[in-house]
Amino acid sequence: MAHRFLASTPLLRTSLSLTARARAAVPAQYANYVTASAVVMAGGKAKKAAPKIKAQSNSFRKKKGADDDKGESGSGGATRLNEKYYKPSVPVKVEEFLPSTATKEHVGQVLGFPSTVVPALAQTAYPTLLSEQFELIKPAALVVRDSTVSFLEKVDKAMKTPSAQSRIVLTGEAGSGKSALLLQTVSHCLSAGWIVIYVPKATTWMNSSFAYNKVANTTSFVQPLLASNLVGQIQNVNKSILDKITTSETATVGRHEVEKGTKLSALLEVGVKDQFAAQDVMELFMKEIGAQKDIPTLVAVDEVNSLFRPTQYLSQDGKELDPEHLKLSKLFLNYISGKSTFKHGAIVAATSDTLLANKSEVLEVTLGVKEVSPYKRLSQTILPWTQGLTSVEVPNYTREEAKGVFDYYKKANIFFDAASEPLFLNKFITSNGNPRKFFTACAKGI
Amino acid sequence: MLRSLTRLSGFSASRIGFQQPAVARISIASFHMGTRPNAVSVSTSTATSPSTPLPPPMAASIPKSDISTTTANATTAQGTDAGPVTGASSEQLGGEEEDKNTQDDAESAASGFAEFTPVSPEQARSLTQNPILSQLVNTIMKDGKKARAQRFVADALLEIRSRTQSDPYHVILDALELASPILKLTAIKKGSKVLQVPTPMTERQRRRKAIVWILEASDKRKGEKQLKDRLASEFLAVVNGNSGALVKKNQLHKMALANRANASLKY
Repeated sequence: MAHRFLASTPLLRTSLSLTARARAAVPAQYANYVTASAVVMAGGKAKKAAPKIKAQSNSFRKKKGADDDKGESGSGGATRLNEKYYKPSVPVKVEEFLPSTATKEHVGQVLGFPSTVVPALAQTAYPTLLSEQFELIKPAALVVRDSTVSFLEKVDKAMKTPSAQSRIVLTGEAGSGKSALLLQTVSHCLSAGWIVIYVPKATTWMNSSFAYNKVANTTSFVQPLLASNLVGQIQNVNKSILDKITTSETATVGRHEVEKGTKLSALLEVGVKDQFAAQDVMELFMKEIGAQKDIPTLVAVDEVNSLFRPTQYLSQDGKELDPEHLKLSKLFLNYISGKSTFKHGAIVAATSDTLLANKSEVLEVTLGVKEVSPYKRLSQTILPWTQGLTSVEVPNYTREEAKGVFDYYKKANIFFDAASEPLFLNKFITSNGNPRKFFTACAKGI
Repeated sequence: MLRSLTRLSGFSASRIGFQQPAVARISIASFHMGTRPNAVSVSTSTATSPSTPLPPPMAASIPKSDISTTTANATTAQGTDAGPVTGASSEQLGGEEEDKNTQDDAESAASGFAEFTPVSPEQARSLTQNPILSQLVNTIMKDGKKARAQRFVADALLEIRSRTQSDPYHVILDALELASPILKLTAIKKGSKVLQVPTPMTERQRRRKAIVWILEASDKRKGEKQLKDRLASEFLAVVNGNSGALVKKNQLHKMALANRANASLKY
């Protein structure tokens, strides 16, 4: 325990003995407190001081070098690496995933995110398990599936309709490609010039990782920092488009006055700079983009099941808060449930099976994914928010799609066996075509 | 055995502290048959790459399996030294990628169990079918938790791949070859004295020793919490030439040299 503490202090570089360093690291107020071990140490110190100094100071110096560079090249960093095995990483050549290439002819091809979209996607993190795959194979790319083509046709139809009519939730078994399909939708809409609000991990909104304050005289709570972060993300993703839209009237956001005709990007800037105004900025922003018809809006929420179950925040009575008590979540729930609407736009959400604790039984029952006994009492506070949602099931890979992915993995050197038909069949059948299991089977062989 | 030890002494006298190249390993076959393997030569190039393949331990006639012949590629190492036996085992890595030379195939095929368990090409790197990888998995396994051990090995292989952008299977093979000692010291009592006698080991025993040393060395790594990271770092350290496992191997070889006189004793 002590060595971990010492490793972080600048005392490392001195040539003091271990005991002297330990003494120096202890705060002054405790320095005079005599313990039995201190007495024993003082007695033995005279004998052991001399030989101990050199050994320990050497070991500390060596450790400092080893921590810096990679372990396999050894301490000091001067050891050569075996050139036979260390090769430069070559990104895989893939075509771009554009509205023109997301067609039936390209089903089974792996297409990368366009260069215009990648900086926008970099504003928010990728979904957890997908990001591990993207770190392994660069650049980030996803396969075009039958379900992609049909879903994007649906989203394109929703371009000219109110969002209350297109509230879709992607469901399916664990690892079947819901988050991936959502990512493709986000990329497609960004390329097509929509305003996109992408929330990759709605769980972080609910698991009490952000500070929350009670709003006076109400039962609601606000999360200032979270709202400010979200406002900043939206601004960075949609900067050029938001310059074209202006506010329709004067409004007050927090302590600030926003005049009529302010660009929406300037409005969001207010929320970025003042986190306590961010919630009001967000609400005004959503109202403004919903009121205009020129540019459609996409709200894409991943891990949406955490919006339909009690949060990990506590009220003043010590009870768990529902998502409707958090103002930012309630704002999004209004749009997801259809209580508020964009004049042109769509709401697409995806459930996540990553954490079992985040599953929402209410959502699953309402969408028809799960059946429970009719006598089971579902939460009456959460149930109304789930009405009117359409469920789209994301299936496992078809053989054609899996073959395309298999060839892509081979090109990306994820596995080094020969890409033969028996090997492909082995991986495809043992994983049942489940995308995540197929990746594990190819990459790890288990 | 004596001849092998003199080779070892002549070698290490001049190159103490360097990597022992593959040449220093004398196979058990030559010991039994009393001949010198003709493929052994001193490699003065990078000390970290094994040069020539070992002849197989037992030149018994093994029936060629139908499984390996049907799916074998034409580019496998058919033309290397020991014909039918190496052929059957090298086909397990048949269908190898374009840039791998035949030397690698034959080298990796010259392991103890390969000849006896014919494997189809798509199972060449399988954690369950490949004898070397399954031995690695079993050595890591504790309390019968095989799936956990398989996960560790699979994750370590992926970690090696992401750090080096090359085939992790060959890295592991190379590391195991480099870290495996060629003999062990058996203690025997001659009168009242305890003498250390250098005795040969089978391929599997050698490999196990290498695996155990690599695992022990990986446990000493600070800063990497997960076994997969430590294991990957350790395999790469062996291949790069600085690992505790290599130190242990060299120590054992030195002690064997010191006790080489006891090798001729009968017990």
